[in-house]
Amino acid sequence: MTGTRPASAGLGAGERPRLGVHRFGGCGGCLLGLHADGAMAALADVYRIVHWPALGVTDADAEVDVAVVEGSVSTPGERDRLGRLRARAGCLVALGLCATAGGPQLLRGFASDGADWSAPIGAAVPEPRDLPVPVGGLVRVDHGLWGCPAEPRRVVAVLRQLAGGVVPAAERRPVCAQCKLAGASCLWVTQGVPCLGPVTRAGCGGLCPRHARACYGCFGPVEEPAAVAFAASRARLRAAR
Amino acid sequence: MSGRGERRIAIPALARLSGRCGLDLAIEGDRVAALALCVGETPRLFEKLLEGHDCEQVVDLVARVCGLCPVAHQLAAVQAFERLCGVEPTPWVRAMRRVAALGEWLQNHALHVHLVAAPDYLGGGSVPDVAARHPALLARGLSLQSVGAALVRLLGGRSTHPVALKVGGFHHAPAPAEVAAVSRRVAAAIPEAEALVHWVGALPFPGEQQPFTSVALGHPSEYAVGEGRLQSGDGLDIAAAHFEEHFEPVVVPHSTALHWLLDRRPYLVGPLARLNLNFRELPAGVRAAMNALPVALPSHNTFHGLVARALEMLLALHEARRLLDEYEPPVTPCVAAAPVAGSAVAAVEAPRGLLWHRYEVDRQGHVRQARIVTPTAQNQARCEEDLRVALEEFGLDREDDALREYAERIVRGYDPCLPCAAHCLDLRVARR
Ligand code: SF4
Ligand code: SF4
Repeated sequence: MTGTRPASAGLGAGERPRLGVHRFGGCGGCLLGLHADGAMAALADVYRIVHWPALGVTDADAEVDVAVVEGSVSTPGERDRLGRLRARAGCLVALGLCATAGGPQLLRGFASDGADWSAPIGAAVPEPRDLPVPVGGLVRVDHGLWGCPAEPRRVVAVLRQLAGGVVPAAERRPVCAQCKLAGASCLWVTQGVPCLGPVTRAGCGGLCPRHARACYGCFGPVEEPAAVAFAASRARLRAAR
Repeated sequence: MSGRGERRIAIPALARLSGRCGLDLAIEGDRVAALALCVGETPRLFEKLLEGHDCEQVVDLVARVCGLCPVAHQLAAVQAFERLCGVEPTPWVRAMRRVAALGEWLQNHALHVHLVAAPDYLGGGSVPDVAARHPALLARGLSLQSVGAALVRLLGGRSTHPVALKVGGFHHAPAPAEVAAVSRRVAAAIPEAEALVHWVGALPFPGEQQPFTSVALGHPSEYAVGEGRLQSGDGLDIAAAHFEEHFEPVVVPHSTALHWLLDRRPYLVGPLARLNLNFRELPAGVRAAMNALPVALPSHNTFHGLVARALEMLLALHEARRLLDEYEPPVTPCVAAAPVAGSAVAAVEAPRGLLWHRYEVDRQGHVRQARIVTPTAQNQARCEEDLRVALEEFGLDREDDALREYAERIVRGYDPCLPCAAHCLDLRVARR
């Protein structure tokens, strides 16, 4: 978290920090969590909202203490917009897997050269050029909130911490740690089901294992995945079948 | 600003929409000379990135087309694959899917009514302004929204990109105690939704009746949500598999969303289209609320979409209560489905209207090609047609600001979901 300026730095007493909320290429699901279940009120309580288009508050070029950014970036216009907002934000929070890692749209990088992009659409589509880039690939990110979607309660908690000048702790545990805390039985150990939990960043509370299915990695990788051990265990599982 | 010459009005970004969308308007005298609704949302080419994945992976991936209606996308996919495999979901699975889908309608409609539409009827301004002036109204709306989210969470594990839906049923069945807790919230919300219907019914709706065709799924014994035949107000009645024989896409240069036509003409999908075609299937409690309204059905005033949304919120609560009160844990929450090669098709009613999926699946059970037709894309042509007619009626000699405001209000009435609409094309970038 080096380089984080507490959001309230330089504010006079009683003045609320200013919040800007921005969307780039994504499904809108991460921001939806901020409209719902009391989240909006919890933010309006500690911030002055200066830019949040879905709420009809627009001032994209305002100086803000905290900018929240959802989505990945794929066009030159979007790059400019991101650069401008970074320059005017004390602290930038990348919200969700699209912003932190690129998101599901990055999968199109697996399409073969010369792939036919038009056939599924039923209309002529030019081949897309550049792959989408996560926000952190272009500008400095002060805090990343992983997850597809990012967990709304955690997002609100982190944004409230930032409003109070607290530097939020980054999540470094894998999903397994939260499974244990939740008392979920391990699919890998008890049923021999390969699960991405050991290499996936915690944050969901072990949601999939608690719903009788393996983790598919929607919170992105842990910072230092035990990739070799994971691959070896996976190979043993396969051999045992 | 008046006179005979051409006058242009550009609204680069319409406010309070779930995404980026602009409007370009050219006026000549008392005529709209050109009108273009420009979806500027960055497309993510989702169809393409589904290719090569197996059916279960596609169920998880396709949710990410849209953060607002992931259940609808997942339901379309699982039902398409089940039909292909010849698997029949159990009555328990059908009932629980209906609850999850209606929970998603409730959540989306509550957000539309309160965050998108309400400010237009409450003196304008932003959502925080309106919340300061009408705190009780906003609080009621957000509490209804949270009941919808709770219904999706009950069955899917979380309300955005649920994890528990799968081909053949669910990974997991909720415990009766969890069901009972949500059911109590549903029962308590019914009077709130009734009050909302009453409030919406009394609003001063602008707009006039316009001729248009409604398209929605129809079901002989229930208000269609996740299954049914594709029907129109003009007598179309086909199985979902024949969609492409009647509906065709048109690429428009000014937008990253395709336009769709039925027999070469625009058509309407969504809550008002559904209500127009299916209001006779509403359960008694909702019918009573509908009959007390000063709105005659079928209605061809698109502003009545707000009435349709309020009634469907009440419907969602009534249906959820009925289905959850009968809840019994199943012997198994899903039936096994082995992959089969072929073409898999399904249509469902997403919160914003008809959603159609087709997948070509190979022998290994991998998707080779996918096609997704979203409600917002289908409504684009109708929305442009509506704007033309409505603005000419409104009077083109008015000030720019008045025209702009009215146009924004019309577009918002369609509740366009731009991430959905722009999931495929990227024409603007390509022209650089
Ligand atoms: S991270 Fe997932 S939920 Fe969030 S915007 Fe991207 S696709 Fe949507
Ligand atoms: S268990 Fe894995 S796939 Fe499931 S919600 Fe958590 S991180 Fe996402």
